[in-house]
Amino acid sequence: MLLELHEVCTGYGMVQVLNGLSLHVEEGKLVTIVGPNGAGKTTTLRTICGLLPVTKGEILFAGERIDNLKSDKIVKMGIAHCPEGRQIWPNMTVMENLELGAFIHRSGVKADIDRMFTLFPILKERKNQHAGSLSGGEQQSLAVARALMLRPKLILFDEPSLGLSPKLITETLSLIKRINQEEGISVLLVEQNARMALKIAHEGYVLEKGVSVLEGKASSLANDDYVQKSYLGM
Amino acid sequence: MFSQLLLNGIVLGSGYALISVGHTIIFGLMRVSNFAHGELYMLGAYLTYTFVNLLGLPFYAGLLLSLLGGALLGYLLNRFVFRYVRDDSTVNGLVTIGLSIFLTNIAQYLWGAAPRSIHNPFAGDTIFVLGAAVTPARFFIIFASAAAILLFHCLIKYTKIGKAFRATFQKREAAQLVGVDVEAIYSLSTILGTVMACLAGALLGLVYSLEPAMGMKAISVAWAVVVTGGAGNFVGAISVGYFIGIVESLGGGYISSAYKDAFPFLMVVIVLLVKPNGIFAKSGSRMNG
Repeated sequence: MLLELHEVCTGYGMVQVLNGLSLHVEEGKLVTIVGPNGAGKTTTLRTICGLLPVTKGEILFAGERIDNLKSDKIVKMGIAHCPEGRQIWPNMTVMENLELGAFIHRSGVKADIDRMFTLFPILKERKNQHAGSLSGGEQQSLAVARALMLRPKLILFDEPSLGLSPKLITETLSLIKRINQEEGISVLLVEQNARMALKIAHEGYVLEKGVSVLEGKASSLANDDYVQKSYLGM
Repeated sequence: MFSQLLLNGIVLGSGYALISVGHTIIFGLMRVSNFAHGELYMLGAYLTYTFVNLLGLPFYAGLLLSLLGGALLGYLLNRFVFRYVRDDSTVNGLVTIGLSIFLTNIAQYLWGAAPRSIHNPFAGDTIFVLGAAVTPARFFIIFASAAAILLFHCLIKYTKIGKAFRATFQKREAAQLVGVDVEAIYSLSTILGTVMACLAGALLGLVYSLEPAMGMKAISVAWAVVVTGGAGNFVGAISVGYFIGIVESLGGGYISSAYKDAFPFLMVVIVLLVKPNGIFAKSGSRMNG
């Protein structure tokens, strides 16, 4: 098992957001978390990569406890995070954003950047531009490329479709699927667009009020009465 | 007289620019309202005085040791003070005001209240440039400051650690997510800011006298420069730093030396009325200069 969360609790100050969440991601799988606003989806991802402290429970990555590690140590183990709102560095160039994506690596960075330029030709065109001057879709590409620069075993995607046009949403999600299939990188995807997320994922969790209320194969979740009524608008 | 005043202003401005770059790092980027920044400048001057005058070391060795001392001081400052008060600007203001008073009195205890001066290490003759008398010490101040600023610029712009530095202050969490140890960056930032202030003290100590309360003037100017230039903006800090030095010198010469300390603040008042975010500020973001 690549990633395991056992009964994880966390929160912001006095407000508890996760109330004993358990989930796991198998190696090579694409797993999605769906659920309403405020269910704790973003909090889950932030907790995994050490931006929020775990108050109870444990998190294991490739069999090792990571819930007491600082975020830079967790990142070094191979967990990349493509955060909500992309969080690229707006006053740095596209090139610098990519170089920083490989901050933990010493060698092979140039080759990786060339690979990203093949994968996202638009970034090559814009390489000396400030990242803040890119369009929303281009910024999303940059955020994904930056996460790949880490050479991760697992990527956490937080609402990658947010603020994109329907066409770009489809492109982004199929890109995530490709990353999972072709690069063999495991993915934990948090997505508002439950229909699309369940379509590309192997497995899914339905998160409500900080706990998993439903889990299983993505295809069977997509056919579940409760999921259809609550999240797919059927 | 104009060229002489202008030159004196550039010398003074060199020091102000260095102090302000340090203050920009610690206040503008780290958001620690460091009222003790002037005392770091004061300590830089007294450390050099100690190594050169009291221990008899050669000037350059003394200067280097003072900067190393500044680096150590910066490390300790972050490790034992800033780290705990960083995210609360009221608390860090109060704590550093206390620290400022403490350091001023320690200096008075150690070195006495009487003004001191660092031995002039330069034997060469005064040179006349366009009618202004330039002593070798003044030349050294101008070049050493410019070199330090250039070095800092290259560090931030071209090195990996410099990129991590900029990334941390543009978006802290994004930096954490690519594996930057932001605590180490905060430590480095405090060290850089402190060393800059110490260098300013050591340099201006060559032409101005040292006294334990000298930090008060320095921090007042640093606030004026950083507010005028736009918090977190290095281009602003450097240009306004030099500008204030020149204004103070020209104003002191042509208007009245009794008012020379007032000119920087006159400028702050005008800038705050006209462009409250600072002359060089771009929209809301830090680390943009």
